[in-house]
Amino acid sequence: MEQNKMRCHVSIVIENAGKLLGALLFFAISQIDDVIKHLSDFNRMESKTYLLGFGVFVLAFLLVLGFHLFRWFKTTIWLEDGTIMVERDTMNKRKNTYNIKHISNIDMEQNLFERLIGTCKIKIDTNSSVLAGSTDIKIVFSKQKAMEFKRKILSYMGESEEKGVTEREKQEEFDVVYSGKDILLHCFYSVPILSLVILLGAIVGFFVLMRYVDTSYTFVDFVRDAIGGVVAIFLLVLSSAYSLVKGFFEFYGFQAKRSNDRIYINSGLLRKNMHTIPVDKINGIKLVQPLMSRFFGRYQVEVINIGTGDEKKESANLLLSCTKEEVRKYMQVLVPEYKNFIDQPIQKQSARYFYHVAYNLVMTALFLTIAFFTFRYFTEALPVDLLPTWVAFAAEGGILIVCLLGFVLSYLSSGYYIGQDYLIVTRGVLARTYSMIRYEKIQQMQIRETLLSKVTKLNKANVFILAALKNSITLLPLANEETLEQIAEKMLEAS
Amino acid sequence: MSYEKPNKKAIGCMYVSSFILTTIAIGILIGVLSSLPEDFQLGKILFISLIGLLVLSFLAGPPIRYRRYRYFINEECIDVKEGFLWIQRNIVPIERLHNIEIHKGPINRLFGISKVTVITAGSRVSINFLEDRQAEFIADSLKKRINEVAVVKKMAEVTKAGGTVGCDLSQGNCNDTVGGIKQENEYKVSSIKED
Repeated sequence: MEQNKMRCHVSIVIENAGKLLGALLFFAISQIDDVIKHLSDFNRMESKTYLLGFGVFVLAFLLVLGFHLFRWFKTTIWLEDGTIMVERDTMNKRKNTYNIKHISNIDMEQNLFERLIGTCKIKIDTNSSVLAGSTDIKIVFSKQKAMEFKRKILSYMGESEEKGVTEREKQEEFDVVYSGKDILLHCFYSVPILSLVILLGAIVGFFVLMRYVDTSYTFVDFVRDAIGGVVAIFLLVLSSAYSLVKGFFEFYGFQAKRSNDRIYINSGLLRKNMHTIPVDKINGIKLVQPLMSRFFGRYQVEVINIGTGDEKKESANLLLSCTKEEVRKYMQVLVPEYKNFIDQPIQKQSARYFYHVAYNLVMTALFLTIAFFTFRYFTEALPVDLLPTWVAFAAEGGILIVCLLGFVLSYLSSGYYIGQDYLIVTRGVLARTYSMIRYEKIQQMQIRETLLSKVTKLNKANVFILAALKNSITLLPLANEETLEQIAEKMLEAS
Repeated sequence: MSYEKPNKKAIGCMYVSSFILTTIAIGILIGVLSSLPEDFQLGKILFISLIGLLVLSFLAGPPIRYRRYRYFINEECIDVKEGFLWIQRNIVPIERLHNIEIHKGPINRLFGISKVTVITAGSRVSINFLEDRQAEFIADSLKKRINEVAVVKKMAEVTKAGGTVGCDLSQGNCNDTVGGIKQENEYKVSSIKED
């Protein structure tokens, strides 16, 4: 039986149509002075053209708004017999049914606009790999209604929430709290190296240009002559600079708490996120060390489950950059089921791995040589030698050296630990990741024996877990058959 | 652990599929080869070598794949080994299974064989080249096993919650009493699909 059909808050129309409406408005405002100038003399042909254009703009604006308004009106949500029903009765009719018992995560989010008008977005994910790529249900309600809706769903799940996560405002109520300084340090420890290199390169290049360029050739001359390139470089530098600071906006006010069998995480400055993660739906834990963190001995902890981190704007962080001691302390509180994994001894993969490296380098060299001769053939007729032979072989040598360096760094980072209850796999080149997976969460194991494996006795293997695409397959380091059989046995014993 | 071999009809099926794919691939390569300039010797050598390798793979591939293809099913897991140049082994615990599918493509129909695909929460594995009756038998057995596992799990949950439960494992039915309220539940595998 249907119970109280609801609609999203009407502000979702503005949110969904916002980008396109904003673009139209921006275009209109940029042309407004021309419109006013030409409308002053209505008899001129240009005035009629502008009027027509303005009419088209208004029509487009109304069409977009009308479309989203219609979609909002025709979309209803209700709870029925332990399921969440979402029906969209537009031209493309759709009715989705989600079993409440299969819900993995119920998160709440408030962006700046939603905070201004007092609404809240509920994001619900079910425990399904088919729907793992994005959030399954997104509903916008008023804050009060959103909390009530969440409590109702939890009651269907046979759970209760004494105090909603949005009501937890005092920092003392949280087990883990990060200050502004901690967040800035976290941004520093997790800085993307490529962005940093681009930004530093741009700054150094600018100063070199200013220092050594012909003084009669001014900066204005330079910008005028290379406007396209300057704009492109500026945008690249801007995006690099943004990637360095966006972590601050994303993780500002980061707080985490364990309550019964759920973990609550709050974070965000412009867009406030409130995650609720059931502990039994956690399929794995990842310990991440970006390059700077490796230098300074810092670790970040992420959860692997359906619903956390499956969208680009979502983070899966359980803990931000911490020392090893802090990770131990906080994991004991937040997820004691996974405590101590940071202290386990990691066994390196066999040195016979370098036979595989040699094979890969030979194949890469072969491929590059064929590519070089093909390129030479097709550019022979040109008046200028685009790729002199010595340059090509130097480049090939350089690429092979970089590949070799990557393989060596990968060897130093890779390893595994086969525990009683869980498996730890470490991988990485510059950054390093420890993935901790309990055997009962492994859905499938795949072992591959290549031609070279017959010589080195090292096989490749993957384990599959229930997670979003980027985390669903964990590649194990090369290992011998006995080791992989051991992991398979533990996976079967845990069933 | 004793592995089962696929049905002998599998070789014929492999040859037919391989023939179709190889013909398409060689057709594309010949098309590209004919468009290459006359004096581009390196390109000609590469493409002719690729065509040669494809022909070799068509001739030698199916017998080698047939000899290597093995599967094993017991109370605990499904284990499938297959491959040509490299051997791939997939191990799936029975307890993780959610769904069973039986597929019969057009080439499979010619030879009277089917493919059983088992699906877990995060992956899927296929057992190929099974006779139709054998595929049905395996799918039914797995279905019963999945129901038994689901019933045992439910018994454990209800017992933990302080209730009582009576189950008929052969039928996959459970009547559990939790909090004084009797509930009748059936635990069935969700679907058997046929193309």
